Amino acid sequence: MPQQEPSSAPAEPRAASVEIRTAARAALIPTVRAVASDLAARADFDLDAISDLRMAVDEACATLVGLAEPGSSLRCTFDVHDERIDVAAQVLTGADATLPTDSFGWRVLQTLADQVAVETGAVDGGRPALTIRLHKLAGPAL
Amino acid sequence: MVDSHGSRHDTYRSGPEGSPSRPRRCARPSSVVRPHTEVIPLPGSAPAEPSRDDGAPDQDLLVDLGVAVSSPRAGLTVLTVRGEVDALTAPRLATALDELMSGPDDHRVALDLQGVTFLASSGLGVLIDTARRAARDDRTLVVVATARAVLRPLEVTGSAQLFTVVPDLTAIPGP
Amino acid sequence: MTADPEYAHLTPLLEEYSGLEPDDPRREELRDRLVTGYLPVAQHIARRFNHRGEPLDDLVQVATVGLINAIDRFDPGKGGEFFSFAVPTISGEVRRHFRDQSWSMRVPRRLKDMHVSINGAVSELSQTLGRSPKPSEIARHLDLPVNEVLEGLEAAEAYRSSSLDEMLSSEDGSATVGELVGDADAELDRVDYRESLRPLLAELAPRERTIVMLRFFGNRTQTQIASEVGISQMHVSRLLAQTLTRLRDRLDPGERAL
Repeated sequence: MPQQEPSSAPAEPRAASVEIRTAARAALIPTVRAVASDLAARADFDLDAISDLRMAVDEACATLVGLAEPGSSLRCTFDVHDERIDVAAQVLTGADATLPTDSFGWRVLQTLADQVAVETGAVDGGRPALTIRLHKLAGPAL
Repeated sequence: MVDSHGSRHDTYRSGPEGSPSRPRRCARPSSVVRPHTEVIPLPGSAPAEPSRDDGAPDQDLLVDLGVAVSSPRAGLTVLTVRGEVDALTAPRLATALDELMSGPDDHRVALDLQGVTFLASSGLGVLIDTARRAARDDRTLVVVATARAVLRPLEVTGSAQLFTVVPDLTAIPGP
Repeated sequence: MTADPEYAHLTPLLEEYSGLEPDDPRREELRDRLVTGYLPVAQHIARRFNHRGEPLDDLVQVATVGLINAIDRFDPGKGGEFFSFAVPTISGEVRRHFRDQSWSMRVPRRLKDMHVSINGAVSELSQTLGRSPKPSEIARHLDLPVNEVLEGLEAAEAYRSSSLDEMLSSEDGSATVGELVGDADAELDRVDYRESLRPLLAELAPRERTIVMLRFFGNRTQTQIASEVGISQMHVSRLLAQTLTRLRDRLDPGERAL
């Protein structure tokens, strides 16, 4: 049987997925945003888009780390698609944590990402968590 | 605090014939040292904002921002910044800029960001505050930047219009 | 080096060039003519930075990148002379190159070269594409494997965030980059002063003016000037010192008290 081209495979090719977990500390965010930048470069994003993603991931992580439970972790998942990277950044929070969406940083994040959303909900057996999901396209939308 | 505006500059002299002030080695390894440069003592190694990091100290990680003031020619004060300006380091930039903007107001002020490799919204916020303050005090604030890491955040957030952005210190317009 | 008459024929070309649409087929040819025409300026600036441990060929190459940027960015509509725009732009490019030299101790020659080519490719591609280029586009443009371009982009990032002085501190007795850069800065600041100096220079006696021009814009040493003007080096030194003090007083009278 001849080798099948990926494009003719029945299902959508599985996105490359990278997950990193760090202590929820500001000092570790440079590492996370460096990963984001590297993934975007290898996914052939244009240079502005690489820069935007790096900054968006930094912003999302900085916001979350500020709300994280002491001693908890920051979890970042990057799903690399053909022309897009989806990022989910998550921390465990106190019960009443809310994410300020009227801040300058949040507006910047909305500008940088092509799409951004916040999810609240319980994970790991009922512990409250905050997740920021963002999508970034490989270049300017045409 | 050192007087960062006091030193006169001999723009014409070149070479070793006049070297009253050799560059000083600075305490922090990643501050840029230039001739006639005074290094602002940075406030400790702890971030200025109360940290939620109650884990181990961050000594194992290199987080540093070089900030230095110089006056390359009469009436012009330059703050040279190197490194990554993010939530952790932005307070240092804020402190340095505050010092700078409290200086003699007949000095034009330039912010040399050519060595900045990352600029987060927290850093942008500091820059924007400074631009507003400069406008209020009727002072000229010039930003020197060429790297995408700085220009892109300024452009994408529409803040570039708050500053006069030039590619090089020599391109700073005269008084 | 008042080179203006020599370049007068290029001024209309500059105007034509800046009026062209980004995708105009004549752009490339016109730009080539402009770059060739103004090349002596880039070479002159490159030579001023010679003997700082960098091969002159490299400096000319870097200065030429600066020249191309200047040609691309110059807007005659805003008024002002091309030279007063181009000289700082070109010098800035060379100066950045010197700053970048600090990584030469860590980063292989190959990456350094690539950094220069990548910079050139990025500005050219941004022009033609109307957006920033992708690594693959840079690679195609330079006929390099994408991996190498990624490596080059990453290295460019890494060296900038490191300390200049720290990198050089291992070499005892050598000048720190801070000193080198400072020296270059001082030299470049002079370019800025040329405009404000012009009327003051006009007031000087011809011999004093010649000496100042040779020393600071002709980059001649005092000894060279001495033989050209036909006086002793000591005399040149004394005249220079007197003249400069006078000029300085005229330039910033308020600063003398310090």
